Amino acid sequence: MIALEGLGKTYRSPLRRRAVAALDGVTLAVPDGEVLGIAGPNGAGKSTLISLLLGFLDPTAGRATIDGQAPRAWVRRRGAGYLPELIALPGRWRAADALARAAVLSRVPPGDRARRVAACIERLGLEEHAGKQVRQLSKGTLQRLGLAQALLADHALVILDEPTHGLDPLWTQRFRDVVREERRPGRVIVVASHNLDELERVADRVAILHRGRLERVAAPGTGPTGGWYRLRLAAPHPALAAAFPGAEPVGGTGAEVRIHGEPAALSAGLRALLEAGAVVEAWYPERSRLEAAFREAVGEQ
Amino acid sequence: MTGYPAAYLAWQARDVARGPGLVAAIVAGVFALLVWRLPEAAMAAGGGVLLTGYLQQVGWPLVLVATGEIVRTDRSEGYYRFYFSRPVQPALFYLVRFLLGFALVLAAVAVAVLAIWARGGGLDLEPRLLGQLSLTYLLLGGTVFLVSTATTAGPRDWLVALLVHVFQNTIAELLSNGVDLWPALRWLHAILPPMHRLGAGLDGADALHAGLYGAGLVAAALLLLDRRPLGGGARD
Repeated sequence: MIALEGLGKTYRSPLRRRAVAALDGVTLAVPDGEVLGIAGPNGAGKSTLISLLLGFLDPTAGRATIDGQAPRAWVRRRGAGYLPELIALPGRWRAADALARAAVLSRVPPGDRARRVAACIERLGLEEHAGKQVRQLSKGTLQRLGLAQALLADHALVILDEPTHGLDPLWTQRFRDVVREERRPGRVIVVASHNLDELERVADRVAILHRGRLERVAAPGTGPTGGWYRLRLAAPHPALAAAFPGAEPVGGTGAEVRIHGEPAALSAGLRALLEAGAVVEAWYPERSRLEAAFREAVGEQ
Repeated sequence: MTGYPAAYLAWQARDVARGPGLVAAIVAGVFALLVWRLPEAAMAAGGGVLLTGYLQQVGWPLVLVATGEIVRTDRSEGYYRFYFSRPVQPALFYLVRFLLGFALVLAAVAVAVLAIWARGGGLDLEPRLLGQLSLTYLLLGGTVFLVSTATTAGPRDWLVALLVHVFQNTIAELLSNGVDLWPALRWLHAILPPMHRLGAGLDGADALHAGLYGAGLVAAALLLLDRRPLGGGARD
């Protein structure tokens, strides 16, 4: 559905004396039905990439297409569900009116508008805020309103930029369910986030940008973890040092260590420890696989 | 009415009414109050004189109010992301907004006409006055529209149009008094919107010049909206 070929964007000052390459040579194909995550440090080019996908900016190199068309033409014809990083709506609009406007502009059939607006209000927990003006909403509520307007119409392209920014932990969890519910064949969902844990849970693949370049496309759940693991025992055990000679103590209890090693050696150590009668409370990679890929991609171990 | 612009027209009209409409309502309301309190002797001069005076004094400021920040606020505040991530043509969206601004100016005139009529001044709205107002909207409003579309920084669009308006009328006044001006000023006077031609002595040639110039400004703004991306930067 989305094809990026050598996509680049360089911002130039009005007199063209200064140039900043925000995006450089990004090539990527995103098929129908995929949830694509976009990760990267601040200034990596995530928001520029999103603006290019929506046709709000023109590339200075390469090209982007959606179903073979330039993004601006495609979006003006079909529209996209879009949550910007900082949702901006006129302060005097009422929350329910903002959704009603979104329904009209998104060409939701007249007979279906009221039902869709009501469903979105309920789904995003906005019932008690529907009559409030946008300027009266808290950050988290405004973010939920932003999500509601993005998901109101059944667009084939949904782009969510930092969707859990300002949400409380309950709504952050709920957001994951929402993405799962929104996933369907024929639709692409793009989620840009600093929260790698969130991307690991919702995305099929994660494009990692760094200084405008696409450094890696990682599939969560695959790839190396970086080789560091945490082991926590129910109580300190004398066999621990022998099972994992290089283990580094954590927390001073004597029951928790961090261990570096290859899976085969670690399995052998763990087996020896269990045979010696130790009770293992927890064993987990110190970094998620996506986090390891991210650190490697941005050159930080 | 499944989509834009028809189905959204009521929302846009509401935005105009609650924004520039408030200023227009105050201006028209103050005029109506003044007319209501005028002595009978002043009314004897005729409603047409009152209306001409009203349009000369508040016509062009109303145009600035009705068209000011027409595109720029949406871009600088980021509202355009809400509108134009949907299947909406920016050129059509802002053309409708521009026309609603004209409807607002006409509504302010209608209030003035009704106020004069209520005092027994008659409903004598000359077509010439209406034509002059329409040309002012097209030329002055068109200038605001184009500046609003083309710029995201610098002075406000209505202020730029106001400065052009003042400049053109001042230079025209100086030239008519035989003042010898720098060639650069004469050149600027010749290429800038001919707002000085919309005065009392407006003739057919003036109307044609102003009308074509104004239509060109509006067309240029629409072309920019259609061809140029709306974002200035990743988060703009």
